[in-house]
Amino acid sequence: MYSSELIKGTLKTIILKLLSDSDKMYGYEITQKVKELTGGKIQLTEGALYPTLHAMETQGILSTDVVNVGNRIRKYYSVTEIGKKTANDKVSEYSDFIDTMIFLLDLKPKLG
Amino acid sequence: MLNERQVDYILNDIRRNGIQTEELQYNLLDHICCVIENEMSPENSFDEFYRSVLSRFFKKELKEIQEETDLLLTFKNYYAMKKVMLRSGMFSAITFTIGAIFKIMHYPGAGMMLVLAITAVSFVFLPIFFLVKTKEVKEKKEKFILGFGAFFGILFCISVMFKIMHWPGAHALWLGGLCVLFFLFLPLYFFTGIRNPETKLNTILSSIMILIAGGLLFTITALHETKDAENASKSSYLHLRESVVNISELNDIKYKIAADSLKGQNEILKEKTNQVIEKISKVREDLNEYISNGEEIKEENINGAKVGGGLPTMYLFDDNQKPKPYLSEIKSEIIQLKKFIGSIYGNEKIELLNTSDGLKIVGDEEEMTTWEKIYFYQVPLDYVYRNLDQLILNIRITEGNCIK
Repeated sequence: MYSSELIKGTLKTIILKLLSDSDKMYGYEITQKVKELTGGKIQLTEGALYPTLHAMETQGILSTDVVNVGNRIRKYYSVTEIGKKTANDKVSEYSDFIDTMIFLLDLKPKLG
Repeated sequence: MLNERQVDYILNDIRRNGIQTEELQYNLLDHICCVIENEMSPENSFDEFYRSVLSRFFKKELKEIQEETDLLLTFKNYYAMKKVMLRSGMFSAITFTIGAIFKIMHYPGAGMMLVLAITAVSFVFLPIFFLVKTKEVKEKKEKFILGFGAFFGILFCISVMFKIMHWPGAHALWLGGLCVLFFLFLPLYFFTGIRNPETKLNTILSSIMILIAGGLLFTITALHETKDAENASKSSYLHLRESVVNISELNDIKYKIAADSLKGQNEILKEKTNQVIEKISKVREDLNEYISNGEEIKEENINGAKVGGGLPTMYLFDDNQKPKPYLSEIKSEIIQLKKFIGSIYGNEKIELLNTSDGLKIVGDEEEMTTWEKIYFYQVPLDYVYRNLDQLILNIRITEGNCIK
């Protein structure tokens, strides 16, 4: 598992990418999906996830859909049109960042 | 599936632990329920498992999530606010500069630009500046000082606007602003800052600067009198009034040194002249009283900038633009005086006493109109006073020319 500092800087990007690839997701589903995709290497903490989701909602990047599930309410998140652009920007920025970090830290790809 | 009692229990527990935002409450509730439903094995007790799940959500207490959310939301506002502040500041600075240049050059649109700029500063820039700054300082006292500073700034800007636009109440606002500066803001600022060794020197320097700037502004205030009814009357060509007094004194001397044989004729001249002047002075006084008694008079009413002519015109003319009796009487008295002087002293003596109709510029055109209208119809108050004083002066001069 990676340190929370590392995850914090990428949280928005991860959420946006996941939500753009699917129709809509709720909070628990997002954490499970990330865990599953990364083989448990990245585990989003609830303490960071929900504040970010709320902030992104007020910024108009995410829209929500409230559904009754049994005796409680579930809030589904999906990406808005503005959010889709933000998602692309974030992902390409991050990809560029990784290249820069590889160069900066002198991490040469291991050749077989 | 969790039963209703358990769901209520969790929701209440979340609320009790400092999660206030409803949407956040439901999000956490759903999340916890999902975890319990998916991960709890039959041998676990609900209570124990719930506690262990909840502890995953925070480092010290659950409230952290609420605080983090608030921080993210306010930070977003904070950023937007700073942007608005910078833009409104830029807008005001540019508009104000252009407006000021226009005002100096007497180009049209200056007033509108200045009002726009000052309104933007007072109601957008300064309030946001205050809010943004209060977020940056921690102590309550400092926030208080910032509040006062912003309040003074807004008051000051608005009073300047009132002054530029000659709106009523400008003087009171201006003085009020300066009083806030001198008696509230400055002492508060000074005594708070001087206690802290780190800010002591800066506080003293800034206080001196504020004192100097405030003093200069106060001096300007003393020089600039507002243009209300009373002051318009007072300041209306004081030297003209002085001249009247001087000429009258001179005339009195002339009467005294005149030859005894002419005293009888001089008496008649003096009497007739004084009679006309009394009439004119009476109208002047009555007009002054009429205007001073009108409460909350707008500048445009006094000076008659708008069509309709304002209070002086309302006092001197009726609705059909005809001069009221007291104004017509002045004219007929002067004509009588002219006849008297012309017949006894010669027509060359009455050149100064003009009562004939003439041309008046109305808008872009000149039109033929009556003597009354030329000097008094839709004429600003101070010009009405001046014209009346000029009449008196001309009569006195004519009188002086006639005394033998």
